[in-house]
Amino acid sequence: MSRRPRRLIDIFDELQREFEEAFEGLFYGHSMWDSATGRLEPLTDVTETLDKLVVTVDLPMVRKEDIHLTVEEDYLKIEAPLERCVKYERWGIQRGCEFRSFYKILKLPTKVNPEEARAKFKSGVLSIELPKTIKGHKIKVE
Amino acid sequence: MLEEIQIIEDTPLSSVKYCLVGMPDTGLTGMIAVSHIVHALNLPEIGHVESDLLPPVMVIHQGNPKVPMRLFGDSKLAALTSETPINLAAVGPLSRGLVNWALSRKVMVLVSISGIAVQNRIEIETPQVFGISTTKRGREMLESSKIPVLEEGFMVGPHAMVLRESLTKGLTNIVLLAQSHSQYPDPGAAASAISAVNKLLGLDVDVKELLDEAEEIRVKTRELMQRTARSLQGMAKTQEQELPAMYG
Repeated sequence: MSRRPRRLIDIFDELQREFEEAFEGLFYGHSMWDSATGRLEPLTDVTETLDKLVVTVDLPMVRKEDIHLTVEEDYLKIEAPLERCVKYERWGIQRGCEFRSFYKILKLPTKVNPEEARAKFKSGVLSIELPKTIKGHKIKVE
Repeated sequence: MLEEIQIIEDTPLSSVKYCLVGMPDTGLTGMIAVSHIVHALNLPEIGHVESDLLPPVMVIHQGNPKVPMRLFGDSKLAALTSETPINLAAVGPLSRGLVNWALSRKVMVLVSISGIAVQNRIEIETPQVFGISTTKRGREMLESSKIPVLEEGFMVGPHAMVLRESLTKGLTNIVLLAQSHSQYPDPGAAASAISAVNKLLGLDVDVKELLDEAEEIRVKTRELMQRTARSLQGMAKTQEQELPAMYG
């Protein structure tokens, strides 16, 4: 049986896939800043234990009293102004970039109980404990 | 045969006494420490690393294009650092190239600076630094500098391969590991590592400026930290935080 000749569009699709695989993360990673709003995305880390999520957020140049946290069942919103503007005066072609705050909405990997959430801030690292929502039926072990 | 990775010197050096290595790694500790040492001692740029295995990246400084992995210093103290993470494919060839270069330049001690992740980092005011060495001479240097030896544990990443190559080829490689954040840039850990280098090599690098600017460094190195963390995921870096399967 003869093979159907490949269409030009298939060849371009394949090239695009190969290119994206080769340069994944180098050109296509999302940027952690937005010069239009002056916001920076903070670094975050989520660890999951048996009964809770622990989210840490790196917030240098931020004062504890300026941090705004919103927690829902499945997301966490962090907003925090910087103590002073961070400027990138000579970087790239966007001369005079200025950033004024951190901002991030984090989708949580499991549902949590917002009313029992606790947060502390030390050495510029915010640590938030989020107890998991546990629903279900008791099973008697025989 | 042409090596896959070559260290190109602008003016060839016949010998180098000490060489520091700081790559993007846990908490960017080594990279921040070596960059600060280069800045504080005003070490001149003397070469760079060339390889097709490194990411296709150039950096522009003051209008001049630069290779991200560069060599600074002189025949007494050289320092190699990188502004981009080392991908898995480059780790082996880079380690072999670096150790072969160190042997050809009669490097007495190759000092790798890195971080070792600790879970309770935010509770630690001044991170402690641990050392590992491939030779008796290195262990004696650690002992006389009162740097405790890492007794048990795993090392993963570029510094682990440099350690392995050095051990195989008889080069004195001392690895300094400062307690560090794993996912966040850690200038405090870098400052502790520099204090250990001062004791080890008899240097006098002031860390005040580094600590004064620590918060801004943390803001400005977020993206490199994120890219580095992604690159380390491919090397099973979390193994460093596992408990050992057995002793002995």
